Amino acid sequence: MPVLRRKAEEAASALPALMLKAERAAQNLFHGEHAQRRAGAGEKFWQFREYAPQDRPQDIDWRQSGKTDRVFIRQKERQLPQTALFWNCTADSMDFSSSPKLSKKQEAANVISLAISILLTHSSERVGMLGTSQTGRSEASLENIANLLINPEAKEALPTHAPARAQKNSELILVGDFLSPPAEINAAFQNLSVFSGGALVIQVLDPAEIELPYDGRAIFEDNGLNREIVQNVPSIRDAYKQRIENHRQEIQAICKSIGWSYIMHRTDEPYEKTLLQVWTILSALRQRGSV
Amino acid sequence: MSNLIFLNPWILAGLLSLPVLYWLLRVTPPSPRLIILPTTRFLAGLIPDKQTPSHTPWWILLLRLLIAALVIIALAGPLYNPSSQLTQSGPLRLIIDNGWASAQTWDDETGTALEILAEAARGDSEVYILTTAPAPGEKQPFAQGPVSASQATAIVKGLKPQPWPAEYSATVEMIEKTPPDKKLFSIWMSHGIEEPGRNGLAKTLLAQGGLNIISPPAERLPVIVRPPEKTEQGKFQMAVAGPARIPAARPITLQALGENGQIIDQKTTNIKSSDASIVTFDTPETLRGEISQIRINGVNGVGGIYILDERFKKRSVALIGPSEDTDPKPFVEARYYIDRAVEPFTTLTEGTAEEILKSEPSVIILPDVGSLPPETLNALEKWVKDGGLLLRFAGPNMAQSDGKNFLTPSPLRGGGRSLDGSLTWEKPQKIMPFPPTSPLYGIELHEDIVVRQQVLAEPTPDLEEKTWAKLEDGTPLITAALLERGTLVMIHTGADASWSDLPLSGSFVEILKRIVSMSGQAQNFQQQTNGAMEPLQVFDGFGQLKTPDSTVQSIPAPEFSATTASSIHPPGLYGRGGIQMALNLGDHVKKLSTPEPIAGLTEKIYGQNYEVDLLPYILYAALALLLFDWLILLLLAGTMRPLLRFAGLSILLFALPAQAAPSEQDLKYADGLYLAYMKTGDPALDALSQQGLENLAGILKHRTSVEPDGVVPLDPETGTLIFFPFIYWPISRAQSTMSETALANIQHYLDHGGTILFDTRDENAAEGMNTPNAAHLRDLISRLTIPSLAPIPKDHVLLRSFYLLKAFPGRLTDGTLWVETQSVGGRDNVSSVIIGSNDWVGAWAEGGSGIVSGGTRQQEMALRFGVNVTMYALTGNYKADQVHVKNILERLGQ
Repeated sequence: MPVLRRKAEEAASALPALMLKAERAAQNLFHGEHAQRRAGAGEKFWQFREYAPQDRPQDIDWRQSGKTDRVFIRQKERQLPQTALFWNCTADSMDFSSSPKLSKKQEAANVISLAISILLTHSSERVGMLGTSQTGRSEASLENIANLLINPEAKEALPTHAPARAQKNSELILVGDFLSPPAEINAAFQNLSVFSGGALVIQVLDPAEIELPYDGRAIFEDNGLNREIVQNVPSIRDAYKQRIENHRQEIQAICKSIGWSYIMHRTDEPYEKTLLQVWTILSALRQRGSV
Repeated sequence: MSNLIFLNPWILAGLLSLPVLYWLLRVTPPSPRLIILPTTRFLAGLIPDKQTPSHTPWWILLLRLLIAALVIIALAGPLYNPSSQLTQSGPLRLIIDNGWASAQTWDDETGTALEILAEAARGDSEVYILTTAPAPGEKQPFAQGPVSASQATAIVKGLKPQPWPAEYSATVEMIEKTPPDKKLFSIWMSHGIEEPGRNGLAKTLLAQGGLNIISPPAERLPVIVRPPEKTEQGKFQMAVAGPARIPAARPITLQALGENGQIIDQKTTNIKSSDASIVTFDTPETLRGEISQIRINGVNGVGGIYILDERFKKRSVALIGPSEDTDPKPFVEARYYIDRAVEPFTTLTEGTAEEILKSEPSVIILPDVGSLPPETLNALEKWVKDGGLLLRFAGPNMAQSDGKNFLTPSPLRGGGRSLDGSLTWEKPQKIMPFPPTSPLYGIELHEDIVVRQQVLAEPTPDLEEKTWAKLEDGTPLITAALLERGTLVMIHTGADASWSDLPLSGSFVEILKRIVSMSGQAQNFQQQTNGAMEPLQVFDGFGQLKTPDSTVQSIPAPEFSATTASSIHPPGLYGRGGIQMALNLGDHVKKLSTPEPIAGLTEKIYGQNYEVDLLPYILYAALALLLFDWLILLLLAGTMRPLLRFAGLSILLFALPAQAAPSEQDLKYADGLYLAYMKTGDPALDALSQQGLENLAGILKHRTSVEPDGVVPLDPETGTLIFFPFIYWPISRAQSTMSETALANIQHYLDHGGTILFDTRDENAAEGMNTPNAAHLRDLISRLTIPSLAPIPKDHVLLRSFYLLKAFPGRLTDGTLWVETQSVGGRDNVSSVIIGSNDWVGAWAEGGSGIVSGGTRQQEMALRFGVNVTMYALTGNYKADQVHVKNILERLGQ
């Protein structure tokens, strides 16, 4: 009990900082290229269509009808309440940063998830965590997400829960380092794709993991499972980089095969850049879905 | 490289192992680091491009090889400049001169001896040590052996030169008494001066196995100070003698030292090679008496010291007077005349008889004493009999003592003889010139001196011989007699001016000086055979005075002058009963000369270079390189990064103070005189201030010696105020309230001598400062610490520091000027704050250059006030002195 209590305290104290950071990242985004797209959301004009008997008379646009002999009704953009479900990788490998200057992968993933959920609630969409039934667009939902991000229920390297029935066709936002073997990733993603209406996979990697910027003789260890002695790091650097790149390509291929989007975030990059990409992709998803 | 040898050359073979070491170092890579990386899985089975292990960088290799090479070389025992004194192996005898002259060559002697011993230690030879001067209190010199070289080193380090000459004959005697059972090779550390028996010793040593003599180079040969000789006109001269081979022009500084070691006089001369170089001291007579020894600066040992004893020193004269410690009344008391007469050439003490006898003076003066308690009298008599000189003066008290006289050279008649009075026919008598038989012969007597009253001596058969001076009628004026070893002197008239004119004349001083100088010279003194001079302080070999130990023996007084310094009589001070005499080496040592070369013997000179053992230095170098290598390793392993950051931070910290260098502007202001005003924020007023002060500066240049270099506007928030003697501060409501920094800045200026002239420019200061400007001023400065102010007094320096002013008009005329009531100490009475309201800059700016050629009178007066303020700030209370001129004149008139 005391442990849980302490963790809760820690989470509570970390929450405002995380919220602030994500809020700032989201805020920066709104000031960017996509700011005007937000105005008038839900009230967008879509098209004029000739009046049909099953239409309601009050939908007739008289101004437009007056220009010609035909009667038009004004159709607005179809608006379905969209739900985004978040999943964050919580494996041990996420608890890593190659330099004290960089944030840990877990932290970066949390910030990105929360920032996206803040953005989405700003656009009046519902957000929630994958595996829980609570979704919403209120401040309370955000706090709920933040709580679950900081205090995950289980350590998961890949998503295992399927969305609840009511959340079928929700968008999925999957954030993690996805270092598991491609076969496992494929299985997990295929599983989920059945229930979702599209997903965004954000792979968070540390620059050291991509570039292996070490020198000389070194012993590499991950969290207890693997241990490799390398006599001369530079001599294997290129091969390593190739492997990581291949791994990424494979994940990308998996995503493509099931129609998902893929983004990579490096922890030495600003959040805004990643969030911008996310927003572009989400906007595209919206448009595609609404057709 | 002939100067470099190795003690263990075979270790150098270790250098051959360096290539092996090179190979080992090359293939041993630095230890791997542990890196946590989540993607380690991806590294599994990666085949590196190259199969060879990571190389140690070549420069690290080189560094490590260098370290190894250095260690090997150090272990081989390198020696730079190895001494080669020891040409033969086998037992060794070191003869170390340790007479007085050796003190001057001691470093050479022991340095070389230690070097030889270090060499002997390598050869494992037995060593014999032999000195040449007798050990203290003994006839024979110190000798030791056989000992090991390391023991010998300890012995040599413990040796000291002795303050007496070497006794070569005693040394010869000693080594012949116990001849060594084998051949001994001898090395003689000589001081280079010929002394009797030197050749004999050399021959003996040569016969016992061989001899090397090492002598000091010519420029370091010993010298000696000869006794002083008095020359005419109160000067004296000292001679410094050295052997003829000593090069001319070696500079020598002779110092005359006082009792406590203070330098009284100092003379420098260049030594002459032919004979003794003479140094003449013209020390003033009053100081000469305080000289206690003459010393050659920088020369060790007694050869360079000559002590001056009593014969040279001030006599201590005691005056028996009243028990109370009072100053004598000028021109009235006898004490006054005696004080004045003997003070310049003696140390005079006053006190009761008991006190004085305890301090054992050489002369006691007894002015006009009628009677003394019997025990005092006895003590006094004993003191005289032991060799003291008692000088008595007659006087009314003595005349009334009814002939019961004591301690006088001859019996006295009761009552005085008056030569000048209403009841006598006799006229005051003059003094007859001193006869050639008198010790006072030669002193000139002024013809105006007359004696009006005297005490007469009973005519006894020996009165004539006892008389040193007579009056013109033949009656004795000064008589003297010996009392055992002491002397009694009686002056038959008073020591004050009532009985005679004598104390008023210069002859009195001369007579007293002559009499005092005769003390301690009673003729029968040295004929006393049972007296012995006890050692008081004696010199050690290095010329330091110390208390004598049991080896020092006393010298019978009659033999004192014939005694030479020896192991039982080291040079120093000897004495008894208040008499001190010095036993000086320079009195008896004969002419110094260098010895003749001995046939079949080469003499060497002490080398300039000493052997250097390089082992520690090379090891240190290796250690430093090792540390360097370690640092590099840390750096390579990455553990150094936090350290480096720290280093960067500290460099930054060190760099910070450099930014505090004075700005060019500050330098400019510090370099010249600038008038300054405070910027108010009101552009019109600031321009007016600038113009006004520029005009004032022009006037100052034109009329006074103050030449301002310019006018500076100041901002209290940022400006450095301290360069400006005074700051003009017009008050304007445009000026905002000041920040803490500005206040601190201004306070600092005021606290460190600055003066600020506040001007409210509204003429209303007289009405209790109630105008808006005054209120603003109050706001501005309410948080400053300013002393209490008052309206300027009529006699304030500000009104006279250049022009004499009655008022201080500006553009306005009626404002009151407020200054500090009492200036803080250290400010030269300059008020730190002057507050007025007459808008001076207004007048200065308007009048401007026109005033020089005639503006209005008011403008002229305003400028005059400006000049006065500047002068006041610059010169302080310099002119205030004139305030007191009247008082001073009055005081002088009285």
